[in-house]
Amino acid sequence: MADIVDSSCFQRLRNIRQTSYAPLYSASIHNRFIHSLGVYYLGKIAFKAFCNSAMEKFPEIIESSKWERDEKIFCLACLLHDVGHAPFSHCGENFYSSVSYKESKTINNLLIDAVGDNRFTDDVDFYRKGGKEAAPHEIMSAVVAIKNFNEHFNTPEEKDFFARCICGYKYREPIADEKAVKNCLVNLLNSSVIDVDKLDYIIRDSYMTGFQSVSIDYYRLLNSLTIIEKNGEKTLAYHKSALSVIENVVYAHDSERKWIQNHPVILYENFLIQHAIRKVDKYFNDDKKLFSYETLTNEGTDFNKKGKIRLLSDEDIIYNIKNVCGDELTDEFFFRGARRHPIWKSEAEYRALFDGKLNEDYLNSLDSMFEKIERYLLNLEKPIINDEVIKRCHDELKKINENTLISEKNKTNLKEGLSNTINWLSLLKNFCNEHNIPFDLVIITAKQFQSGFLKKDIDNILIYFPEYNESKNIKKIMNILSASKTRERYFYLYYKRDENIIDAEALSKCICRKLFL
Amino acid sequence: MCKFISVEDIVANALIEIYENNGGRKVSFEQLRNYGEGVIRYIKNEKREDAVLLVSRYHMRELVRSYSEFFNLDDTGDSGTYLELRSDKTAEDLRTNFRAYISIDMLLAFTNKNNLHELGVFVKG
Repeated sequence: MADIVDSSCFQRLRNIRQTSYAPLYSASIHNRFIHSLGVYYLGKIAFKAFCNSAMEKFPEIIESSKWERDEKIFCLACLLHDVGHAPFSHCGENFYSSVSYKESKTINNLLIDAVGDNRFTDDVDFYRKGGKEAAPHEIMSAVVAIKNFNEHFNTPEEKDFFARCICGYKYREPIADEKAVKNCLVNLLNSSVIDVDKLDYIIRDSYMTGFQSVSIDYYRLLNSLTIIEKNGEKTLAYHKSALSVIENVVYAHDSERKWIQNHPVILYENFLIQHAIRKVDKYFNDDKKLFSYETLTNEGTDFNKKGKIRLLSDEDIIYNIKNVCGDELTDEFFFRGARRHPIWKSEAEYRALFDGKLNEDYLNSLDSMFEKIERYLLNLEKPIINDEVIKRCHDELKKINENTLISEKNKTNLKEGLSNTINWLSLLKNFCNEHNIPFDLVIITAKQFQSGFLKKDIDNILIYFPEYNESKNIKKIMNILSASKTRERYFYLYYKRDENIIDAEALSKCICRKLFL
Repeated sequence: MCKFISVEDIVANALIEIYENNGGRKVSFEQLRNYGEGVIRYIKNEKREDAVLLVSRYHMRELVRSYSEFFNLDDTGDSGTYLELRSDKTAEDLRTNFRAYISIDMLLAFTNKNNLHELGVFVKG
């Protein structure tokens, strides 16, 4: 593996930040490089434990399989599972899905071509059509890895297995034992609940931030991995001794999501990064694309007068917003003093502010209203609430009346939405004017996309009881602390704190008056 | 600037059209995907802007988590994945929440008759 680790492709990951937690936790500056090595390490432990269990229970599988090659490909997938990550990790990955109208190849096509296996092609199509498509960075990682480290694969079947591990695409039925075992390995790297990727980042993020969470005994957990036969199919399960660790993993994951990922400072950092990437993406995109396979490689893409980009990383985005295509908002990335401040700093503070003033229904209406306004702002050049946006809303209202392509019913909807938006923004404007606060606000709802657990996924984890030679779904045997089913829909409002600090109590009263009108 | 088209917007706007034109309450994910790709093409061709459809399994998971008050996800059958309007919701609810707060360009993309064909909706004009 040394040739891979030393390659420019893999070293690029040193310049891709793992998280955007640094504004809150200064030491949290770890990167995808170290995370990838961590996943490789955990993958080795997991494979060994899994293999030992399989040898004990189903020796015939071991004899008929090419375990050495399977181990190599699985560990290779662990090492390279993030090699196609975009700058700033998840903030940048959506741009891979954007295909210029002059370009015909999507990343899915690139993957299918790189693997070159018919069964894989069919399964990718199945998962795409079923709403189970892998994330863009997963697909791109498989593409980059196969194309750049082709010599590590002996057959198209090996590439197929490798790509499935990274993308989480399990072999579909009917499957023989060999494929069922491989599906267990796919789950070990990419599943909806516990896998070596999540294990590494949960432990590493906690360590790097210093955020006090529960301790995770990963060695105990991975050594509890076992293979069982359930409904006639070989499948992955955990020995009963891992129950407490499984609960800790769920707790630690949800805790990070709740207290770090949804922290207003982190959300604002993501908001700035997203805006910065959009600016740079727009600057470069013409007939060539910035977020593409080519720019990730050593060869790179020549954007003529705009320069050449290769081994695309965080630094390229930072350089360009610093020197080429930045604006007032991207400058906040460098000058933290200019950043807007959240009026409330947690969900609890938000609830406390409105407690006694608004019942749950009114609070839901408020959350929903601001979420809709945020959605409207999301695709604007500058998603900031100011006079410019109010003017834009008025201009759109005029355009609706003049547009003959829009049906009357749709016109009514749009007018209602814009009128509500104008009303709420005007209320905020009046409040700001009365309290000498700049009318320059940002809304961010704390429900932005983050990977997470669904309760039903956790419920389906299989626990093996050797005394009874039986496995049970975890939901049948214990109530595990898990991601809440309730909707996390609350919002943060940020303002420019020049001289005056906003009076949150006065603002909440002003909002309540408006809601009761 | 690259526009992001979220899966909830695609589902809601598709179901509005299916409900009002065909009386249906559900849509397959395959239809949604084709409809969404039509929306992206429309924005690229008509507005010369890049756009991205956010429909990976992680976005679907988030849809289930955040919008279960509007939609049910059915992926239990052999015929694929379907999204269904909940029985206590109407097209009017979808209009209020998902059609009123979009730009004119987005509305035109969502209601473009070629894109609606992907949903089995055929409108005059």
